[in-house]
Amino acid sequence: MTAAGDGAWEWLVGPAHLLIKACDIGIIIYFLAINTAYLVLILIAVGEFVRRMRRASFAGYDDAATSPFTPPVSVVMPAHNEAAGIIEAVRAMLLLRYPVFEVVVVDDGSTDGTLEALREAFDLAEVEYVVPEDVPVRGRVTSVNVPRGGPVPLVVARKENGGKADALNVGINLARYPLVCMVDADSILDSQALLAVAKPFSDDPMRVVATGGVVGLANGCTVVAGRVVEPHVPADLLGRVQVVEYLRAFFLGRTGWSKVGGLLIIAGAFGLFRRDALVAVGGMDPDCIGEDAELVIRLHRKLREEGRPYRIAFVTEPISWSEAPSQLKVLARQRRRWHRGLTEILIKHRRMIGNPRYGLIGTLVLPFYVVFELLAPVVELAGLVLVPLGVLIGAVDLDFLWKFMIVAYAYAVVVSLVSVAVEEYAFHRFTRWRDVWGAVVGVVAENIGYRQLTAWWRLRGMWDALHRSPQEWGAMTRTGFGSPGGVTDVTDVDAVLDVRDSKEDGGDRA
Amino acid sequence: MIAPEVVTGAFVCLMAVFVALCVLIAGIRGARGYRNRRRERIAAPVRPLLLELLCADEAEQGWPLLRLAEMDRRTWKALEPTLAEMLGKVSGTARSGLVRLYELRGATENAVCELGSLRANRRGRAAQVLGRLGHRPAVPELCRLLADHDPEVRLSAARALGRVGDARAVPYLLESLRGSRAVPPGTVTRALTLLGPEALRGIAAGLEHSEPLARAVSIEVLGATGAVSRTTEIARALRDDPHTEVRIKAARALGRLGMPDGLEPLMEAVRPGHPVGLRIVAAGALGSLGALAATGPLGRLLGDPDPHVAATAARALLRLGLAGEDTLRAAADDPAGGPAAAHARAALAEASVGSRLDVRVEVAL
Amino acid sequence: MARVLIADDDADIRDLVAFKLLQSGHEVTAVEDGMAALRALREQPPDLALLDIRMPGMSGLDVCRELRAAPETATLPVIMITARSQEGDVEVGFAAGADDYIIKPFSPRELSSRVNAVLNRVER
Repeated sequence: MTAAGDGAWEWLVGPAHLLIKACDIGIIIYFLAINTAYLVLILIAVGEFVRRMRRASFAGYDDAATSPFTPPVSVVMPAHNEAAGIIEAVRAMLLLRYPVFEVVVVDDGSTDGTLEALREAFDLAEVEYVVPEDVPVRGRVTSVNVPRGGPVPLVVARKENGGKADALNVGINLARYPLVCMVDADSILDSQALLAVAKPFSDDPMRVVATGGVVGLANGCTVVAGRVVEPHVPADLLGRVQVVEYLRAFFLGRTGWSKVGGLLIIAGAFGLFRRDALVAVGGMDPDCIGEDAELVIRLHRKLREEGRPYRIAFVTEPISWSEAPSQLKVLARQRRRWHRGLTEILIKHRRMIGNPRYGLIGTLVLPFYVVFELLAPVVELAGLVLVPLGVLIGAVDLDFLWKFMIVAYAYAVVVSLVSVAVEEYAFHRFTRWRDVWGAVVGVVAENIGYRQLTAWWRLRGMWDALHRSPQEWGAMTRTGFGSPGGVTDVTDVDAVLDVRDSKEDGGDRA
Repeated sequence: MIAPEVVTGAFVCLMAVFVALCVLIAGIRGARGYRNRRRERIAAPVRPLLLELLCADEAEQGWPLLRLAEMDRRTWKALEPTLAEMLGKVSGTARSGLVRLYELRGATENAVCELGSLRANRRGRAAQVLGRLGHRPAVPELCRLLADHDPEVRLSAARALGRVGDARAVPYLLESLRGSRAVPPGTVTRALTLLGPEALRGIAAGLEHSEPLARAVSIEVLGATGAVSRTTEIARALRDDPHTEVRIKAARALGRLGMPDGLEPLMEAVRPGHPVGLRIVAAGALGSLGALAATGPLGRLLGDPDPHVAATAARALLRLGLAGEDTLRAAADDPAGGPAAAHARAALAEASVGSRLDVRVEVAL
Repeated sequence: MARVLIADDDADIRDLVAFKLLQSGHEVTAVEDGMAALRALREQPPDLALLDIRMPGMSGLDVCRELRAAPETATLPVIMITARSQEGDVEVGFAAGADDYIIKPFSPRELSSRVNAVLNRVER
């Protein structure tokens, strides 16, 4: 095979051949490396699971649930236009198994009567309240409400719309207890969940500053009165693929990272923090799209700079469940926003990348995120373009190439299937054979089509991050918690879309 | 360049792995299902006997106990996890029946042997079972496990010692707070509070411990168990201890004990100049103490620049009865009151809706 | 002799309670969650219901509130089962309309006498 070219361009063909060939080989190696990296993380996670399973019988949850010395927790639940589900969510939250805790709901300027619904359901009365300003807040608190006469540990604050991060900051200020648990208003927690995420704080109180819980997909699950009664794999392909993705990347991947001390992301849908640590770093950054991930990096940064020994751990037992997008369009926006957030965070903290001062985070984890998360869509899409191009101009042998591609994809499929096997071995949450079959289908579909789609969305997210001035980020995220009405001053249509959908997709990185 | 045969080989391998994983997943599921069914089947015939034992009066326990003690090893293995769970769920004669069953089977002795096992998960589990059984002869062994190299075994041993409730464990538990193989203070505190009155002397001795954490834990336990006779020593710790954490625990304990001796040092501890954490807890403790003499100092705290101190003082005043409420009203009505008036109004508002927001439990970690 | 419903997600507790109450001559229906409890309670109201407070799905409190809201079950005696030191449970339970509570771990004999006491109180 030779490329068709004019005589005039003849001199270019040789170097172009070489370049494209080199790119193609680079892409293939990258593909193998990324999957091998995941496989390593999964194997590390397996070791951890086996250890935990053997020790489950003396984990001491019963003692923690009944001990008056279990540190009390403030559950902070930001809500924006959640009138439909908020009551059930709060009721379920108040029934968690935990000795002493309170629920702080922050209504971020809802326009659908969220506060009124809560007032009615829990017989709330407005009280005057002095909100301490331990972390800076933008939106003013307009009212604080507590239940009349009862022993129900609930506080509902209403504030001017200021975005989710800002609402969380108000929650941090209102929290009275030394541990602050951040949950989404639409997160569904298992009843043991709080006990499990709080356990590392009691077992290693000097060092643990934050823990994150597993987030599972609520799609397809049987949910009764704010609890997942029977987990299932959803019947639609998009749901199945996401189940596998969550399992591999978010669950096993993070378990592996946590084991080696490099946990970088705690899902906004379910994380527990020391309040004093949150105050020390100044709370959430309202100018950041992925404020949950950004917070954890900032904690790492601060604690490393102070040279304090600390731990940020991922807890594998408990589960919080979140609804994932079931429509392509919504999913596209979610992924675009996540990747935009990741890009912004890595740019913001670029000084840490590769910097040995930040230990493992600087030398391994952040570079890993840059290479295998941030740049993954670029390489993936480059592959889709350059590999056929290489074949076209004859730089790469077609026979060899397609075989190699198949191997690379087969490898990715095997890695995902390993995660399913691990789940089955260690947790076996799915009771029906049908669910396991669904997961296997998801494993295959994830690598054919889905990855490429997400790569495109993620690339656009990256583009968004690189092509907007910082001021615009601020305008964007101020309403990032989902009020289309509040964004009339933003001219960018995409931004409005982004904002609107943050609601539909749960708004958060899982 | 890699030869195409290698690539083909790799592909065949990966396909084989794929199929193997599918088989593995199916196998894991099948095996687990089989195991569970088998366990249930084996345990089913003895389950009614177990329920009978649990529901019987002491005098009637003999017969089911004998029958259960006779079961073969296989059945015992299938039933034992249920028994261990049951030990934590029942009390009274039902529990003592189970304890006797463990003894008749020699399972208690077995667990004592397992404490010396080379495998950490066996040691941890044995400690847990012995704790639930309340097996006193195992106390020295359990105390030894407090220095185990595995942190989870140490935790399990500490919890077990609390459940057994033997005062001999006190010095070991306090000592376990120290060093690189330490047991977390929350677990030790919990265990010590469960030991009962005969342990109080040993715990009070911990007030003189050289390790600050041990002093803090001793004070917390004395406060939580209502050891009023130790008020003087705790008050001294609040005044003189060089470690803030110890002083904070002392302040909280004095509030819980509610003795007049605590008043003087607490009023000193809320003054500006002391660490904020201590002042918050001390202000809360003055509320628990309920002494009218605290009204003045707490009232002055309403205007404190630290909002947590001020808010706690306002809630504490509420607990002082009418005098406290009057102070709050006066502060609330002061037109030039500023933040102090706001704090007072907030506390009064909460009281008027009958909500019971307790005072801040800051720095409890 | 009375008909008693026990709702608890823990199979051991359920079996134990059912066994003890059968022994004391009561008729027992055992269910494992709040929804099933409510269904059973509506279909055939028993003389007394024992509800675990913290069941997955619908909690004992929710069931109790539902019962109190419906006229035909408004006076049905309810005993809550709760774990020790779950702060506030007892109060919240009474606020939801429970008649009595039992704290885990419990002795089966104590449970049986509580059940009888509540039944007697209602009869009188």
